[in-house]
Amino acid sequence: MIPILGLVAGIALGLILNVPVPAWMARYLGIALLAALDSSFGGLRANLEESFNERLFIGGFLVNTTIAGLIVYLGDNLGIEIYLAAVVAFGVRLFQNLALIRRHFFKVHHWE
Amino acid sequence: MGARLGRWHISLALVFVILGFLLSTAFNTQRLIGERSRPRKQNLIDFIKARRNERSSLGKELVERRTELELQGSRIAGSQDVFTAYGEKLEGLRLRSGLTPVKGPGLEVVLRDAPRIPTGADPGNFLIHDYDLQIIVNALWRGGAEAIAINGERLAAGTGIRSAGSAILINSKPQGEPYRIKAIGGTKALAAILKKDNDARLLVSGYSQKYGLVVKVMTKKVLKLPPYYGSTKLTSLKEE
Repeated sequence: MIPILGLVAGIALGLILNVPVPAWMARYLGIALLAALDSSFGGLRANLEESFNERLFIGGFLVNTTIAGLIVYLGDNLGIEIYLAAVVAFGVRLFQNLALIRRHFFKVHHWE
Repeated sequence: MGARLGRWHISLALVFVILGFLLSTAFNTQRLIGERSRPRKQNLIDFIKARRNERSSLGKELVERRTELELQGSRIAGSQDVFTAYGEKLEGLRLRSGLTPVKGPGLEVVLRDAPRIPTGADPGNFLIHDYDLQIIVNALWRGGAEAIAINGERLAAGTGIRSAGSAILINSKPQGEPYRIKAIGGTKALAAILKKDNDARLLVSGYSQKYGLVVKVMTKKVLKLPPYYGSTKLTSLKEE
């Protein structure tokens, strides 16, 4: 329940604050969003599996976001869309984590 | 291993807050960008259409008002002897200023772009430009034209003939081809000046043949020209 409450609170915060983001930053925002999605589901999975490591989690989130931002910046300056690499990497991990979360629920509810 | 609330880690909830925040911000941004880019063109088109309609309805109203004003003026001038002289002077001035509809014999010059532009050629050579109209109009004035209108736009003191994009603005109103220049004056003198004036001759019988521009010159027994509809308001001008 707590993560969902956090998600709802975050969405509400974003809608209320309605921070204006300039168009050139839209891609950074997108990649940050992906990094957050990746970390959230990774954390959710770890939490469910009782293998949650806070340092690893926070560190991973910060480092992933920063590196992804740098990749977008690099790609923008080189004219190569390297950010797609980050999109793919995050996307793949997202689905892996989703699969593990699903499997966890199967195990908990003895559906297997 | 870190603070917990029930079975969930606080840091996990925190990242979920960030995730939610980013989600809604991205949503807002995307909507804003969409609003800004997509209907912007449509907005401008609607804006231009609305303004155009407004202008034409205001133009009609202006004509009505001027006609009414003229009527009232002539009624007053006719009813009271004191005003008669002034009224006649006013009528004469209005006629010369191009503020009244007029008719008389004259010349009609029709100009059209070349029907075909050969591939690879400079298309500018095959189109009628603002300066082409200026050449004809200037020649016609030189030939003693007393009133000129292009596509129903009467040329008056403040009239400009200039291009804006692919259109030519006459009295600041965009006109497209064909351009019909109607000039009231001595038909013989007007026809003669188009042959005598160097630039006009070059355009009528030189460039038109070379590039396929369509230039037609017709003598008319009766031409009817509308009045000048533009503003006659003076803000800086004072009589010396």
